[in-house]
Amino acid sequence: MSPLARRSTRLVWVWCVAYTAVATPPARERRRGEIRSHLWESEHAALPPIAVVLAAVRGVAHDVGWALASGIPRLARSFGTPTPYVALAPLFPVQAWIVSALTVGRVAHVFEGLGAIGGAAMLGMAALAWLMQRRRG
Amino acid sequence: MILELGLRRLRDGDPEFYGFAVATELGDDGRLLTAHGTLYKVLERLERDGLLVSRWEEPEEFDEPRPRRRLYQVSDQAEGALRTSQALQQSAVLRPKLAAQ
Repeated sequence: MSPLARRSTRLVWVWCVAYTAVATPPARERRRGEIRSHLWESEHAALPPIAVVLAAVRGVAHDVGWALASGIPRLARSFGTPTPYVALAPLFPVQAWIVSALTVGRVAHVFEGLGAIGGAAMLGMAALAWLMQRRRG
Repeated sequence: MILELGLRRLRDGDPEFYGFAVATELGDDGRLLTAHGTLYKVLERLERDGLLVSRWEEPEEFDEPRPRRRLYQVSDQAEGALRTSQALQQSAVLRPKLAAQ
């Protein structure tokens, strides 16, 4: 196999690992298994590297759709835990700081307010999620 | 197209097929289906709709060192569903002609 063919297969595999990361474990294992086999067959059928990459590129929209459909329930479940809120909390003051550094006057004040309220609200949500999680046991 | 291919294979006595074989057999006729994302999404949907059944190939079924394939086969409902879909397509083609008469 040529280095270019190996590189193109690797590229497609990295994309597959990336978009399947959000899916549920059974869906992820199945899709990865199918793509692993498909890439192996493509290599051994000596398909041109560009054909392998194009086959992946043409299906990107469906890959993303599939990942969202399989990942959204999982993502929704994660919002029942404090982690996503703790992760989102610092983003509010940071965006406020960036906007207030770039603008002056009323806009800057509005964004500073949003940053403070948003950050505090996220921490509040994190605390609430933690309490609910504890209550559920 | 996948159902037609599956039914053809069933008639030929080799009912099981896998993703890469579909992409290869359809070739330019099924250009869209040769895209990985589209192909595997369609296969999954057909299975969810009960038109295909699938399983992982068992290690003892092949000798060469390669990843195992996900093997698909058309279900009993597939032929009926394909006939219905073809009839619907035909009526959609005929209707404008009737309207023109």
